[in-house]
Amino acid sequence: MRNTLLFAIVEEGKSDALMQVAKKAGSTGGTILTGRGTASSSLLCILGLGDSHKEILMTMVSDAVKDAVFKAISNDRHVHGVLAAVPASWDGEASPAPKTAEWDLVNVICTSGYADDIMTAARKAGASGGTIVNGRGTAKADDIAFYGSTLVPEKELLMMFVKREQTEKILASIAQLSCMQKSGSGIAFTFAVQEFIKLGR
Amino acid sequence: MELLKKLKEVGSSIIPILALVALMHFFITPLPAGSLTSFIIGGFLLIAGLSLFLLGVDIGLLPIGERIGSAATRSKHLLVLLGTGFLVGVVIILAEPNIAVLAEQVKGVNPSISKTSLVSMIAIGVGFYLMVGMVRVVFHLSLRLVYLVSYALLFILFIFSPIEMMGIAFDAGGAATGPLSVPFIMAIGIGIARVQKKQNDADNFGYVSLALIGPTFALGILGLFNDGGAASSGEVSVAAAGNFLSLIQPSLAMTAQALVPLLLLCLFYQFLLLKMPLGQLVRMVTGFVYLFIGLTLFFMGSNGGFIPVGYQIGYAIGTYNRYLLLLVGAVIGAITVLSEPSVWVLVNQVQEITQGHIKKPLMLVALAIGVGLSLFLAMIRVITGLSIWYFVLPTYALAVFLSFFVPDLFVGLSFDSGSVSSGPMASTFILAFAIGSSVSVGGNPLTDAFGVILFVSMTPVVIVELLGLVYKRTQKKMAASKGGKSI
Repeated sequence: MRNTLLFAIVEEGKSDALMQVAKKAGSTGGTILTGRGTASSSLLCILGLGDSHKEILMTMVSDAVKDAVFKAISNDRHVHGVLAAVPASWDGEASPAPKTAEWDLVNVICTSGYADDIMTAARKAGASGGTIVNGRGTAKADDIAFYGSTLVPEKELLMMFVKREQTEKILASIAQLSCMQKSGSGIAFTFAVQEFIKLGR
Repeated sequence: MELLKKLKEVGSSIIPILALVALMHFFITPLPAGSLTSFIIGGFLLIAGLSLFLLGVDIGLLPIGERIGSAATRSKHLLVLLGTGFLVGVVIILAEPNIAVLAEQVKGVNPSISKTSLVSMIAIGVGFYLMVGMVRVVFHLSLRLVYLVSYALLFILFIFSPIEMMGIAFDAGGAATGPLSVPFIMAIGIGIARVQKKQNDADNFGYVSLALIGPTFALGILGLFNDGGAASSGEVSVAAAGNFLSLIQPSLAMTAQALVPLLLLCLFYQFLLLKMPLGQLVRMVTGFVYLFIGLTLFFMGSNGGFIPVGYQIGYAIGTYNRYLLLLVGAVIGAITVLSEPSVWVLVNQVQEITQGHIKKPLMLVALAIGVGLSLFLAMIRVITGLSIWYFVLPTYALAVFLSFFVPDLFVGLSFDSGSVSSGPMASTFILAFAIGSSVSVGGNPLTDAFGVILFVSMTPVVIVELLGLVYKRTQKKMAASKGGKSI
């Protein structure tokens, strides 16, 4: 069975209502992450004025209801944000890569604190903005325990929707950052986006 | 944009107070000429100041606090971690504007306690209890047990320590958990919890309420060597309302005194342990600039508008009808807690840590009810002059008792909510209101009005614990109906 993972990145507090909309249209459930939207320009970033609290709603839908859910979410005029559909599979059958896609979802996982630097580099190479989610790495076997508790590294996940023709340039500029030179300092991967729209416009 | 959103949030919490006071002015009892104007100007200064302050906390204070916490833990030396706790505790108290205000007030009441010994005892108390908090997390000790033992020892101590010291000691605890120390201490705690493999949400909380116990202990011990001194005359002097321009300079000085030590501490860690890249450093410094402007505006608004007018309101209502004080006190308490800067920091972090399960509005309403109840009790005390013991002992006994039944997360959370409720709004507006009421009903403001800060920080503990019991029940119901199915 073919499936699609829908990503909606919206303002803080709006994702619960959006999930209800998606459920009415046939989605069975979803997961909500909290994140931080980056500023839309470097100046605002330095002034610290551009950051905003975001929520990321992820819901897996089968192709039977995908269009209905996508349409229902995109018709919700109360939220501002983005909505994207990424092909996915949950029973082993690979989804076909979309041929006509214009957008990629670029993900970068890095040591906590560097996501803003990466965003700055990506912006210079053409990206418009991104969302940062906090996380932690899984501890390695040689991590020393600290009085009975294992310490783990803090990580950040930066998600950016970028135009496909810019993807390579952005990835290259991220790889050239001084904070990404040591091995193990980060990992980047991309998803091909099937459909991408801006919400609330 | 984030600043606009903050202005909206803060504005919606302060404008009700402005409206309430205006209504009182026109329909119940008029205030002296010009008071209402300066109150409203003060209110708008508070809104602007608080919004900028919260923005600075978001991009400056919280990230660097979290980073210091995790860097100290990742050093894997218990000594570095505990040393950090002690150092942060001491520096934050030297910086905390609330403590400076309190020390002045105490000096007026009891000249036999020197300001230096008072502030250094408070600082050592906070530093020591931050270490206790860290030891608790590292060695997985139960927070309930720490509270039980601490409060039991505390009340035993105050059987021997003079009763005058008790009010000062508890108020010092309340003041120690002010607008600068709360976000910073909480951030350190979150930083420590974040690098642990076994993530435990409950470990994020508890530090702030322990920071309240520390100074109370320290001053109780100080009281053993100092007979507390008979309270001097009941003279109360309150600054005139309105003079905003003349307040610019002292407010700037107060803010600088608060922020410079903290900035030095952060730079010390930057060079020694953190070594952040330039981009992050610039952001932190920008955060400090917002903190600076925000705090200055906040002080101007509270000193020029909220403190003097708070006194006048209390006095006017008390003269009009003393039993109206009960009602007005409850309403003022409920509304002012919402304008407390650290309360906003706490509810934001709670929402983030619980991934949106405990929503901001629910938590704010619970706190408002709690503090409303507090002030109702405090006003009973102002009118009747009952001893503080009758209120404090049962409430804390109940709080510690309930802590054994609520979910782990709510143990530290509820005690922390209590500590953060008593911020600068409590020590300015509410205290001024209580003093004004006490003077008007002919009581002794030194024994009847002081201690009101403690009341503000006491009942929210129980209220949030009750919220925790409700949360536990709904979680159980959800688990039962879903049968563990999750996506």
